[in-house]
Amino acid sequence: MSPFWIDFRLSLSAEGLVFVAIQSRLGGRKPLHNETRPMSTIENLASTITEVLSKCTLPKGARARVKVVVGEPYARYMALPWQDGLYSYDDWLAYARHIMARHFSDEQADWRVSATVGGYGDRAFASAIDSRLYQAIKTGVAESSRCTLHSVRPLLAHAIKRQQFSILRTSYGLVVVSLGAASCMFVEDRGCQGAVSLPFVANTPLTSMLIDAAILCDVKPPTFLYVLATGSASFSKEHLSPLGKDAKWLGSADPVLWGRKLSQFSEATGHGGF
Amino acid sequence: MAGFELDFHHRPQGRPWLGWSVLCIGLTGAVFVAFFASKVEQRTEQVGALKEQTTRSERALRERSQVVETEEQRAQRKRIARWGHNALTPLKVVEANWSSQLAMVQMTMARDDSTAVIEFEASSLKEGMDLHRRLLKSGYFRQVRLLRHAVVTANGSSVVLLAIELHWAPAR
Repeated sequence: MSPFWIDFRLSLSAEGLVFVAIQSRLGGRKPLHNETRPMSTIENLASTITEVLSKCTLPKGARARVKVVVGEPYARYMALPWQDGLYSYDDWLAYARHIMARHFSDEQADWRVSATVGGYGDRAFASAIDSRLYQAIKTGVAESSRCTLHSVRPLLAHAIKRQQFSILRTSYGLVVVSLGAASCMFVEDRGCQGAVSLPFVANTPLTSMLIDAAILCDVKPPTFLYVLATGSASFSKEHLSPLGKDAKWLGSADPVLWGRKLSQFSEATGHGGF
Repeated sequence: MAGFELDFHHRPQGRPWLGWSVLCIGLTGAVFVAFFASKVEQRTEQVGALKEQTTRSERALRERSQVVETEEQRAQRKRIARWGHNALTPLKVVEANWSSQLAMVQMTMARDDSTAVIEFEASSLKEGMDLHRRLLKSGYFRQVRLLRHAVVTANGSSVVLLAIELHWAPAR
């Protein structure tokens, strides 16, 4: 075991495949590697991931844990209505798989599903990615040397997990703006009421997109909004000024992947957004 | 806001409450043990200090009592050195040679028994001089001096008043 934690973060989204390697130690984080490359096809994804992960040479004896964040066009979100008679987690996953396949009108697709079941009667927050994508990530990480797959998370859940101590309200809307799309989530009394992804461009007003999302999820438009963004979305705090005090800018969805200030990422990688 | 954790790779796992509780109990126990250990250490230090104090005061007491003893012991030691343990003292020699016709008036002895002065009354001068002779013949005295003698007449009978000084001979 290395005396340091080596963390590999991998983001798969429309902006491409972002790979960041950091070394965490007492003094702070030390970036080891930073790379962005266009997303490959799902057949070549495993080899691409292996290739990317091998770019960063690990210190002798060190192992890296790979955290994968699946972004916009790949991850689907949904709030599942409560269903009686589901007792185990597997039941809920099967239920989610069934509902999502029907909802996304793609019965043939095999979904890798994850869900969090709330209290009795609450809606369950569920997310799905293509099973082939998950398998590609798994094999890609498994074939690269000295790497362990730590987690594969959808962007929205990852952002919430990261900002869990900044999100203090119990009823709010949360928007993660990424390249060409925005993921919205509506929370009422700590329970997920709806989650959806919509196409969104940074220069268009956020409010209209939000109203569309609220209509799609069949919830009231939220009174308060938390907003995050990924690196190449070219979305910033200034875009929130029309909303005034009803919105709070939480910054980068992952400071490791896209930097604490999002502009750093755009400058470094040449992404200008739209 | 926790509770929306999704992971495609791992299933959500409950918090290991048993492990947590064992850890907490263990930590609390460790804290208690450390606390009592420090307490014991403190007490041990106190006991050590008390012991030291006791030792010091005991030594002081012994020294003080030894000072008192030494004066008596010195006389004892001298006496033993001079006469030996079962040796006679002038008083015993005088007592052994005494007769019923004599009456002691006063006996003065030196502290180290080297010299003694006895004043006594005798019924006649011959009785008094007999004692003088007996003491001289006993061989314990280097010198037996007759200091004075006087004849006192009272109620028609005479009593001889004598004083003898005895110088003890060194041990043989």
